[in-house]
Amino acid sequence: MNKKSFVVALFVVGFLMQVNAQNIIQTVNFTEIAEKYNTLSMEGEAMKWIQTIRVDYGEMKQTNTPIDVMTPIPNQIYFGQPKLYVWDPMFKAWEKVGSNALKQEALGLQFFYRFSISKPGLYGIFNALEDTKASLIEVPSTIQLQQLKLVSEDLKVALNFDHSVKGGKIKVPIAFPPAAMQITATWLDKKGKVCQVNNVTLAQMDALNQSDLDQGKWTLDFDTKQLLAVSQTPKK
Amino acid sequence: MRKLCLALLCLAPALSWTQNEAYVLAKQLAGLSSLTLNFEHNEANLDESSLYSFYGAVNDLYGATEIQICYDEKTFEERRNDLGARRKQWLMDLIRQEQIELLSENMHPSLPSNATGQVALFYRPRPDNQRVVIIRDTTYFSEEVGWEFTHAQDMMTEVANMTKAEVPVDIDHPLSSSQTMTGGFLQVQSVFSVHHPDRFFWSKPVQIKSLSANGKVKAPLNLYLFNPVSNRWMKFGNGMVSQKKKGDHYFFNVRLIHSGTYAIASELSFPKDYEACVYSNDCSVIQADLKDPRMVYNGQCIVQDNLRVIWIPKVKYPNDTYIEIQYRDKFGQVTKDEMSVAYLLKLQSPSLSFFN
Repeated sequence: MNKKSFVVALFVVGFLMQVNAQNIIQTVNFTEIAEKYNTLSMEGEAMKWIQTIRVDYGEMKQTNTPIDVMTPIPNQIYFGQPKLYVWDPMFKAWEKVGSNALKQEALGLQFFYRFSISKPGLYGIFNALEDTKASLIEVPSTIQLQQLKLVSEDLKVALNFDHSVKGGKIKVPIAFPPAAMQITATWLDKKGKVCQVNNVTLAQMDALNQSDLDQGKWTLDFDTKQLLAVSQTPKK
Repeated sequence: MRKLCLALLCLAPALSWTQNEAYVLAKQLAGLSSLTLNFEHNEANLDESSLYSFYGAVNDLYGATEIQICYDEKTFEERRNDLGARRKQWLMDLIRQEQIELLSENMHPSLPSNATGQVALFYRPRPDNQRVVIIRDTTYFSEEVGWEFTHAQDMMTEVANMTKAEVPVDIDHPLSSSQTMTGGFLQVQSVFSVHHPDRFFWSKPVQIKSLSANGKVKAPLNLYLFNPVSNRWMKFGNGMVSQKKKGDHYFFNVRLIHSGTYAIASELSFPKDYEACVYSNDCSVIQADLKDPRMVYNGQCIVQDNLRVIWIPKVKYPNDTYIEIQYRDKFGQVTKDEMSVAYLLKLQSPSLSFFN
């Protein structure tokens, strides 16, 4: 084999390796994270989503060699220090990977996050929320909350609470959520009837009129330091 | 013995002519940089060390003038396996692939007396200070050095050794921001973008001369590099940009070593404080941009407190500076609104004091 053929062969091998790498690593967008997962840390803190990748070896034999991942940093002004997390399916939250696992590098004018992965899983890069205070949603004893989801597509925050609560309080790790944060909630009223709101913004819920309230929807009160959830079931 | 003398007598003119030509060629190419190349034994390609030498000098070859190629005639006349023709093809392909211009009149089928190897490339490296040509509002392409130059603003700029190409005006980098990484605003004199098609860093710096549209600028000027991640400008290098007078015009002189979008600018007063502004309690602010018709107070505002508060640098804005706000309303629709900075500041009331 002459030198030219050898170089061509090397390119082909490199291309095939690239194809394999693409099969192993897939990016996961925020919509999927908001739908199936959340942006909560193991400590219960809300985080801002930046990027997520899924690492799946598939039928390939997993090797001990770590995979080096470089992913472009989106164009945006960032505050704080983004960190690398891995999804814990048991606790349904993100666990921090090491203390210094995420590095930032520049290739020309393109900036990249760089990190090493040694096992398959769902990995995410998150930034801390500026607002670290928490609020409480009071669930009246007359209703049974089954699911509550708060999603802000712009702030890149998704909070999912899918455990059943009756007459209790839910701690929301965000004090002043964005006004356009969308709420999806499912609950059972006094008679066991299923009530639901889908993708209603917080600002919209503030402005609910009496008729809406009478239909069993919620109102959220921002005047106090708590987010109050009050079921307004029709009176007989 | 007599036969040998006769043969030497017959060969003498030929030997003398060859030596003479080699000597003339050596004299002709004196002072030029040279590169010696050899082919792999019985192969059509260059050997490894020659290939390394070639790529080591390729940056110089891009900007070089007077490129001449001399070769041992036998190298390209080898008929076995058509090796000579294949070698010639291989070398020409390599030169063409690297976009190095070579005129057929500059190919010599003999080596100068001071050269070794099978092929020798002679070239004159591009001098640092070269004649400049004025360009305006057009994309230029330098055939010699292979860079593409996009002029971003309506300001006159000169670039070393650029020749006009059939490329339409393409404003890739409009001045969307005149803010520095530290929050200050820039009085921009010139913006330009220089990109090497193949590499980011260049082995030799390129000198760019930019014609000042405002005559001599009194404020100290610096070179800034655009950071597309934060949409802000970073001060580039420590030295200030010099201004030189030539005839009635003043020129800014800068030297660059890598691709990017650059600005020659002076920094205006640095804002010591920020004003917290709430646009509306019923929406989430996605982005807020300061817009100034003079392109001084341009830049993206910081939106914090869960997309509720816009932080505006506290500086004396001209009356016509306005702010463009992109927001998601309470029905989930993304909309844009524009208002003067003065009006937004006026909208703030004590009832919103819980944000402070």
